Amino acid sequence: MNARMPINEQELSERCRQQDNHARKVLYELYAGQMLGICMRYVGNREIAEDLLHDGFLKIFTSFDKFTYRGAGSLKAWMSRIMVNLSIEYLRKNDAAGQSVEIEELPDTIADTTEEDIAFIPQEVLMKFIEELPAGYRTVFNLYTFEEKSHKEIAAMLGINERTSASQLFRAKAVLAKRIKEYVRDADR
Amino acid sequence: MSKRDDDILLEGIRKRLENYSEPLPEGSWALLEKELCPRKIPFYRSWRSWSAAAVLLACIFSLGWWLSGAFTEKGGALPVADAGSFRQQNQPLPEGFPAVAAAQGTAKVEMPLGKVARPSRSGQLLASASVAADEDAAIGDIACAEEAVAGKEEAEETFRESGKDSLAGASVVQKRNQPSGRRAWMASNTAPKRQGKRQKWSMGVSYLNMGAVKNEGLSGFHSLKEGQGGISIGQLPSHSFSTALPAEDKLMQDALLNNVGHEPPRTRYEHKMPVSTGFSFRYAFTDRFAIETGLTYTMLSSELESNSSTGVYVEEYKLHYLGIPVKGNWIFLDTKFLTMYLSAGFALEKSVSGKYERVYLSGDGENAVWNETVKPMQWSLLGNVGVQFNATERFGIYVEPGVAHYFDDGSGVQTIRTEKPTNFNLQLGLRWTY
Repeated sequence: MNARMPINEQELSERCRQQDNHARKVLYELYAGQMLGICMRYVGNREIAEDLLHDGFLKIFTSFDKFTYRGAGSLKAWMSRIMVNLSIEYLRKNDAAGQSVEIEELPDTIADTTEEDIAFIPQEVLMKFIEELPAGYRTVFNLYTFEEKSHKEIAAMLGINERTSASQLFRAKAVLAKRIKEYVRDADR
Repeated sequence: MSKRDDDILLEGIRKRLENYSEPLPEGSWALLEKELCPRKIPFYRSWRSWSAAAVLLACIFSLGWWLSGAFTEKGGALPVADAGSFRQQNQPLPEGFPAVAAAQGTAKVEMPLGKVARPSRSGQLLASASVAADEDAAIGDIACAEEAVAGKEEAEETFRESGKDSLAGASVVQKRNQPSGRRAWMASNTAPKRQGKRQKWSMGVSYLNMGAVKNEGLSGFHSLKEGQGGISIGQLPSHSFSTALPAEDKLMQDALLNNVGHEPPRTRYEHKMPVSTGFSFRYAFTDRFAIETGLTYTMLSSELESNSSTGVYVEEYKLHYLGIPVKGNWIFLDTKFLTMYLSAGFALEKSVSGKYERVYLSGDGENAVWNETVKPMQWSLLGNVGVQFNATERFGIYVEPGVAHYFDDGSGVQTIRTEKPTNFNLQLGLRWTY
């Protein structure tokens, strides 16, 4: 029997709720790469990220009865949230989220970067810069930048104080700005 | 404009990586799909289905044979002291022979009459078997059925475009997730295989049964033991039919009498349902192969009764065996809840107690009793399919429909094993593994 392909997010989510395997596969093919990117950005390790992706999708497919469609983008946002939560959970369990590793030669100021500088850097390279951040810096940076959490919320999530959160974000930015500048400079040579 | 938007660095990175996609590991969907919905294999291609069907068939066959045919099956292997044979060998019977039947003789009484002259016999045997055949049918998750889609690529592309919406407006309520998942964690929730160290030793107790054989329609005198009918013409006194004939000889006379115009004797006999119980030990060399031995107790019992117009001839024996089976097991399925295996081997059984008793009750109140001890040794070949339902990791209930071939033990005693040397049986048991 041929099954009609779900053509929008709402229909896709509804078919996934009904445990339609074909719809599940479509959903996976559409979003798994992005979800893996999120996991990579948080844990900085491909093997662990793949495990989290696997577990995350199992969670997604078995939790569709809890999902309510609230407009375009809500499905991806819901899935992203699951992946972020799993990643944070993993980091907390491994006591990595609150780590603050001092990096030698950390600049006192954040180098000025332009939109052109950032756009110039390939996504993979930018991802690598983030992945190489110490876990504590990386976690705060991700939550602040991508999840748009406040330092108060981040502090509550990670069990640290707000000042630590702010400090780690500052350090993360300093490291990233430095590496972006270096990359651009090296490319110009 | 928020504070974040003012931050060129953060905003630039966020926009740059917002829809970043990592290349997926090869086979990741297949792995996920396998856990979400085990692949549905057509039943005719599943070896489990065939195994289950074989077990089911064996159970049904055993049960059907047991219930329908076994109890009324015609026997035919008994040694016959048939009046017909006497008729041929005693053609020159003298005139007036029937008068001998009333002759007075010396009774040899070794046991009370009431003990051997049973007013009635248990008529029907009850047999019951509870067989649970696990069909192990593949669970078909309807949601997981592969659906071929025409125009799949185009539709996917359509959706891919529409799916690239922003996060704006998303309102998601997501509860706390499960603990960090490693694949092993998920596997522990889904894998049906037995976990942990291989358990080598098993101990079981069992009860084995097979059908009974009953025959109520034989003509003439018969015996449960070869040469023991006591009706050999050679044993008749030359001055036969005298008035001083001992009781045991009256049996022979009876046979003769019924050869000369009387109603021929009718014989019924019954090999009762054997009872066998025991315990066993099994040692697994590998995950697939094991050897099993143990100790069994078996009781065979038979009754025969010939009624003539002038007397009743009764035979009965009970044989008690202790046996040692030795079997090799091939375990071809071992899951958390179900274990299936094939077994083959042999058994040696020695009769530790065997009483063979014959009684003749003549019409004039005289009777004769013969007692004999028989202790044959029995060899047999065994084969069966085993299905074990694992209630826990260490305890299971098993059922073993099987077949056994019993070799002639040379004792001459007619048992169910001599009448049906190759017979189906059903063994039920409990097994502890450690």
